Amino acid sequence: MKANIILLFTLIVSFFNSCMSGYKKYSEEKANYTKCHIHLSYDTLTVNLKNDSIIFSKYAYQKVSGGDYLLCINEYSNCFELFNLSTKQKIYEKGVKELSGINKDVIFSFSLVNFDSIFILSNNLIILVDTAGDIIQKIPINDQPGYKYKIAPTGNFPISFDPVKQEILLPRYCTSCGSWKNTFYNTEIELGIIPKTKFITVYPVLFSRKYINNYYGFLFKANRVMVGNYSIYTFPVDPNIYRFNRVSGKLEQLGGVSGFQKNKIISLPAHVKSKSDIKFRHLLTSPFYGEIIYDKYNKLFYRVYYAGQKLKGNDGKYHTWADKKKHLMVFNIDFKLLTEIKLPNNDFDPGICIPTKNGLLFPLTTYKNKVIYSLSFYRYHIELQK
Amino acid sequence: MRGIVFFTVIGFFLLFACKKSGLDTEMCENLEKYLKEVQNISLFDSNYDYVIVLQDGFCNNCNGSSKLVLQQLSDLSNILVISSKRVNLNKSIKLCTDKKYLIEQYGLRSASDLFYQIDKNRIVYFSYINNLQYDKLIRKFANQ
Repeated sequence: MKANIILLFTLIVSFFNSCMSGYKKYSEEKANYTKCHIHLSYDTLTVNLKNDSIIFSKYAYQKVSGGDYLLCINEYSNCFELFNLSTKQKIYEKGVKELSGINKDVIFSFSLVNFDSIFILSNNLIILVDTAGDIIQKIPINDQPGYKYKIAPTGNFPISFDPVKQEILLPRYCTSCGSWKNTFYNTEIELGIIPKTKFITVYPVLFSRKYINNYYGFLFKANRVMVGNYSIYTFPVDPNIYRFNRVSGKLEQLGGVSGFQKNKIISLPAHVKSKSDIKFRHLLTSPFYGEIIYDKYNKLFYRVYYAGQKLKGNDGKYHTWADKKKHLMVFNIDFKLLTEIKLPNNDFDPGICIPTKNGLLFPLTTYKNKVIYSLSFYRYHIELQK
Repeated sequence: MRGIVFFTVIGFFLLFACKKSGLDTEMCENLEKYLKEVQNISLFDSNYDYVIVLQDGFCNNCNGSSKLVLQQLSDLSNILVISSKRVNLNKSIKLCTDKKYLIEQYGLRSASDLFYQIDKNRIVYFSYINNLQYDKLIRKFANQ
């Protein structure tokens, strides 16, 4: 009798839990293909650096007063550097500490809204600064003792500014949960802060349900891009794309599986959580999906699909990161899949992808050779033909 | 029947012994093969007691602590260090650079630096180096 009551209670709790969260069990949606003629061409773009060198992984791009601008932290010179990609010139540089008052190592991401507003997300501060280095506002974060939820990204989830709501959008995760436990994935991943009032909204969006009862080692990141009222989320092991309307609160699940995905993404047992060698091999051999990139000029979305591969090739040598086959998936504004473009394998790392008015840029660097002496890009011109 | 039991017991014993020793046979074979085919070094003819593979340029999580450990040491002609780029180490340490990142093709790319101990021309200990192991490593070097 007692056992029955406990069982009934458990069922009621889990029923309410599933209703409250609005989340269903995980299901993989098929991608919607749309026939479309695409004209593809490519060339290279080189920005004149004179005699300088550059290495960057943290960057932001924006169209400001008619030009395409790339702002990045040059880890080589320890400076914020601003490039006009239209005129191919570096137009500005300032020491990271001089501009923001903090060290580059504690900066997670930044966003260039215009020359008077650069939003910086660091380990314990949100900083609003202009290019002159005048700090407009500082908001302390992650400062409560023993905090459980941290404002910090797990993946490519940059600080963004919603000009309509005047709200700063930030990533969030559970620091004490452990990425091998369900509690980690049952945490809301985005919040908004209105700088004037410090009013906080935690948006009801969780990690993909594919992570529930499944552990994927290093492939646990949440990626987000902001497009108007929408936050668009992707997760490396989940082909689905999640579109969340921050005004209406509606979450849509859209299909995004690549036509080149032949193998399932296999999960790992949770006991390998601290075995980074096993997790690394899993990352190297698993298929997975990169983050969504929005091209506002062509009203297109892009995502890179990384194919799975065997650990070793026929010659007995281990496959490398560069051997992973990569395809650029191109979606229209309604997330209909238009085409998938094969990207070159070697000496090409599509980890950084910058859509500009004059084409889609991929830096001509790789994980093997990050320092470059000229800021050069592969540039894809993608034109839809009706 | 007795034979089957005997070999099963021996098999379990060997399995347990290998696990206990922390020796990852594949990673040991990978290093030997890499040193022989890429660096032209045979561990069997060398006087190295330790080999450290630095993951410079490979992983963003490696914090360079192995280098700091190595920089604290002096007169260590029995250490061989593999690195993808030139690093500032004590001159007595033998440094082999691997600019073409061939360690990847030999399965030596990892999320942490690698440590091997060699005794009587064979690898007797292997471990992935994480922060917890640095103290152990310094003590190991200090005691020799």
